[in-house]
Amino acid sequence: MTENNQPVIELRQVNKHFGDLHVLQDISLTVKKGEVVVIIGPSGSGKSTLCRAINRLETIDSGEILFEGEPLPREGKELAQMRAKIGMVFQSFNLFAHRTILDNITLAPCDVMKASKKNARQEAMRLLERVGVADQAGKVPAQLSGGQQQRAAIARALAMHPKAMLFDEPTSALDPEMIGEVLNVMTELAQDGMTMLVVTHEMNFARRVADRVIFMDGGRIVEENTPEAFFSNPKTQRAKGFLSSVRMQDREL
Amino acid sequence: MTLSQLLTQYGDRYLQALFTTWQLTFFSFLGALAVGILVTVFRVSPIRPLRLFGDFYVQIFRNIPGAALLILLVYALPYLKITFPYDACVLIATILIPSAFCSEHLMSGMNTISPGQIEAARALGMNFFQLIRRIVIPQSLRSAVLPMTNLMVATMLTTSLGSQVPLRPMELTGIVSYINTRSAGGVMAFAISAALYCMTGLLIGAAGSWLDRKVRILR
Amino acid sequence: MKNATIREFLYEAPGPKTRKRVFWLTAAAMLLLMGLLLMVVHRFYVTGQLSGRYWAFFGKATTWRFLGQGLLVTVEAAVTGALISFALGFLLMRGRLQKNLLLRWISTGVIEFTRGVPTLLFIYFFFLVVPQTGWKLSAFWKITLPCAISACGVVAEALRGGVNAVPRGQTEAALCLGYRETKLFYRIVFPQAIRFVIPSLIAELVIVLKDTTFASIVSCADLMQNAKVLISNYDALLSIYLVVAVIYILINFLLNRLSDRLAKRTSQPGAAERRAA
Repeated sequence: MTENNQPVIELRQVNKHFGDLHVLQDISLTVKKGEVVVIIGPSGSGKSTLCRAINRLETIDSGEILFEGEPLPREGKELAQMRAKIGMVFQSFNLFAHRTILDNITLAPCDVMKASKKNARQEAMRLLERVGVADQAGKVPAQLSGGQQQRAAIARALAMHPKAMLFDEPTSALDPEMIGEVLNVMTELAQDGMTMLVVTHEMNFARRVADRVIFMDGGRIVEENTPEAFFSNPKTQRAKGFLSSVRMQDREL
Repeated sequence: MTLSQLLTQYGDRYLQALFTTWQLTFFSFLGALAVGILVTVFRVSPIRPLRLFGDFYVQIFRNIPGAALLILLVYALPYLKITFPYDACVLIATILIPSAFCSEHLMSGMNTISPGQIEAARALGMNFFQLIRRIVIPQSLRSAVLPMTNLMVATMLTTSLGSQVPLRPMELTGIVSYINTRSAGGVMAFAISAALYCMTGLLIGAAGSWLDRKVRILR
Repeated sequence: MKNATIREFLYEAPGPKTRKRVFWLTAAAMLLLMGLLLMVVHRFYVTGQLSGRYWAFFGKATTWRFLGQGLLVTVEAAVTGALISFALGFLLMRGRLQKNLLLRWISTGVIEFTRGVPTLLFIYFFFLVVPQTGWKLSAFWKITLPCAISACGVVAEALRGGVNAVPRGQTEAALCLGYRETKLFYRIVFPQAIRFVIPSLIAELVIVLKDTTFASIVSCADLMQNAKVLISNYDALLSIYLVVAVIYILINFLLNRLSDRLAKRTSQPGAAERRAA
């Protein structure tokens, strides 16, 4: 059990500014091995920036970010090696437009981990099978639906055998009928014990899958709790307001 | 003169001129491509003086008239004790001018890559050179095929600068003024050269769109 | 992030090592470029091209007046040539968009022909062949007409692109309102199309202006030709051609910048509305 309590991602007193805007204010946060942490909050609350800071797609002004107990390197080979261990899924999929789905998945294992082409292909097909788009392997990204692209993007991240996965609003760019298929893949991943940090607007996913919910507003972590406690009994006024506005929208739908 | 008269009297010379134009176009285009790529590397490098130099270079050669550049190369440089033979001057001019446009096409080709794909490559642990080799270069080259085809046709048109110096053998524009000053070649003498230019342009265009269909990136 | 160019997102925020490396490379590049500049200046110096007699006459008003006269002719020829090419281009574009097959073929043929033949060939045609037919043209028209003809095909294609960029729905809406085809084109489609193509038309003006530098072939007294006269007056070739080249570059640079600015404005959807608000 002790092994399972090891922190994988750790943020200490992290601050970041965009010009005059203080987007991350004294953020401290720990994600333990096998844990699924969901970050919710209104747009502009800094949740995406937080997610992107963890593999240094955004730099921070002060504070510390640790991955598996090691401080995040600032540049060079060390940074690339660290990033290879952290899977990332983007809002806009970001598949490589000039390569087939299969190539998208084998590219980084071959280039970065020096895997053999044959092994990489086998592994890629296995992963595509797992996310349910194996039949699309030979097509280029533009020929796939948004949901299929995002599932392929998850497979691409998994091909690097990441120690943790970051999801930056993975369903926000999808048509409503495709959100489910992506969330299903993510749910399975969570059940398999993957360490996950998920920024999302999907409250049902947070309620069902998360071990912990973090509510951010105005660059601060306002509330942190188990999903049951957070959704049934939010402590702060701001969380209450946010949840009731989300529920209003759900009812309208 | 009629077509058959012209062809019997000057047919060989036309053929030679066509070949010269092709040769010039080919080497100028290759040179422009090489210089254009180098300048583009300067322009996107993180080193500010190189960026400024690259921008400056492009603005100079994008905006200088071909005649002015050729005159500087042929007549002005010797005053600095730098003398090139005529054919070298033509080649330099027809490399420098298209190279500026080449760099502009490459820049806009690169700008078709979404920032997201570059972030994704970084997030997968690719280093800078892998990113350049695997994502940036292949994507910009593929989306630059049609602009490069147009550039090659433009380069062909620029090689007509060769008629402004005594070039041996002559290219397609020079030969027309040569024929017309010796004997009244009339409209037909022009029509032959024009047709050969057009044919070359159409060939380049056809090859370009064939290649573009093969490598175009679906978006 | 939305308007970021490749220059901004190709590199990530540098770490301390990278920053140091970039600093030293910047210093080295600066030295290299300075050295290059010094070498050029040195070359001018040792060949005596920096001597006062090659540059002093640029202090005289007569020099600039004379160059100015040439420039005026150049601008006149370029603007006239461009306007003619716009008119011809418009006709060709109309022809290419006709239902009549013959008209369409002829227009397409002319467009492809003018785009595929170098301007110099047209200039030699007006210089060598046209006089033989007895058609007396002044030197001005002998340079302006071939430049215009050479440009009209490109103009036609640019205009066609603009017409195609006008949303199809508007044509349909206008047809529903009872517009006839011709009126529809001139009242609804073309006024919008022209807004899209103004940047390309300015770029085309630059091309015509560059082509007019061949005016000395037909002995038209443009900037280039006047430069030649100055050169024989002062026996100073290098300095005068350099200055003239810089004049051309500056004019074209400014025109191209104007074109780019306008293009950016028209390509941003909603930009016009925001300005109005």
